[in-house]
Amino acid sequence: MKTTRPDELLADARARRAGLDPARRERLKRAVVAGVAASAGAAATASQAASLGGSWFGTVTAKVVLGLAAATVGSAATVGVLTASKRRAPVATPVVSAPTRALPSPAPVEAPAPAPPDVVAVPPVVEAPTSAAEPAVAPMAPVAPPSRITDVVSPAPAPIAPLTRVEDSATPDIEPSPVGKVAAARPIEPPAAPALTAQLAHLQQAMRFYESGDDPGALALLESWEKQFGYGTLHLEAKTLRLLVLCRLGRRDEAVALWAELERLAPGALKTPRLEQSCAAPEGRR
Amino acid sequence: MTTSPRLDFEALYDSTADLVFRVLGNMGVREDELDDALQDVFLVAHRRLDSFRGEARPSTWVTGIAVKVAHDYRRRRARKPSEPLEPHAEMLEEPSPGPDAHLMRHDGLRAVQGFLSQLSPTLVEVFVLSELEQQSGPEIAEALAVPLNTIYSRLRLARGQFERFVEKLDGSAS
Repeated sequence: MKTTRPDELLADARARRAGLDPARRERLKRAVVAGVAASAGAAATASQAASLGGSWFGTVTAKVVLGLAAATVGSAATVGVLTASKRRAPVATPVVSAPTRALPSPAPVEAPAPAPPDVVAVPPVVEAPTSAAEPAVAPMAPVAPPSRITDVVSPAPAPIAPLTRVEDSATPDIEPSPVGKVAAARPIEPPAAPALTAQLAHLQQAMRFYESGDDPGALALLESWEKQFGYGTLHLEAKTLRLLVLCRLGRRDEAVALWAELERLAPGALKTPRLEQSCAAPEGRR
Repeated sequence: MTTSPRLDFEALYDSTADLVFRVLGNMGVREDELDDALQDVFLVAHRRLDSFRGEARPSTWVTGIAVKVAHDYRRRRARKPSEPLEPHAEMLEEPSPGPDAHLMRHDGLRAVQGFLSQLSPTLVEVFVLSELEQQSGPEIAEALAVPLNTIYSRLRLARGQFERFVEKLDGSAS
């Protein structure tokens, strides 16, 4: 039998590699350009984020995302501070730009101003980039309060062009193509996280329940959120809201456990008045 | 006074997207994370355009960012309690082919992927950039911000391990 030669194997490996297919490359390019536009709008949106002071969710989101950034600063320092919500801005914006009760319309923005550091990751979530290069998206209609939880658990088909992982998640059981992929020998990976739009719509619905005083409804939605999205982009926001709901339901032990989990996942994310006054906060911080 | 060249961001994307995609994939970013990771690379690159001094080739510069982003993804994954921690580099034994040895002998990419999946991350970086992307030692040193001698010693180590891996391929398949 012919002996295998390392250089021949390497040459074969190089020959078999494939790059991005053109459609995927263009789609990603549009997403990158839109992300760049969203980043450019970040400074301008900082003042808008500040105007969200009346919305606890806006504040919590800002702080939690800040916490996430802080938690990852060690690794992010090598590549610049990145947060998931920042890069997925183009996906998120259609939902948030739709009128909702929780998020007041932002005031008109004047010239871009430097963004305060504690809201740096928020703007893409609250403002639609206006770049012409952004993929054409239709704004998602406001979500009506569901009569059944399943109305929300199964997110409606998002009227947006697939941007990042949607296509991948559609074929989770298919053996991944061998395109430069180390993980081919690993077991089949779990399905990719759904798009941020679905996460956000689901979370906003839970927030509406919470704000309307329907704590059991909000909790059910948050539990289904976790089942569906796990450690999705907004998992810190979801856990934060669940902590507040648990407090209002008098389930302090669970809230305290969640506090500890949040502290572990995103140190610093809990430093908001709302959370520090919650039942889960350690005595010294209340 | 010299002025540093200003990179055209779109041209940078067009010329390096494939490279970035391959580097990310070969360095352990999962298929379902590749799109996000690629966007991360170019968002960082865009933010740092002004810092590009033209001392390295744009592709080398972007490769450096891609390697760090890939590292970041692996680390982030390892922090998630729902996912098992990857074995620590020092705990990894020398890569050896598994039951796919026969297939690997006829499919270089499969063989390399099998090898890389068991290799220490620091060796993966130099092996991928050198043997798959065919970048030079100085380019790799520039991209990874690691001394050239370190690159060469890592490369020697990785090549040696690959040779033994291939020997085992023959042994397993015969």
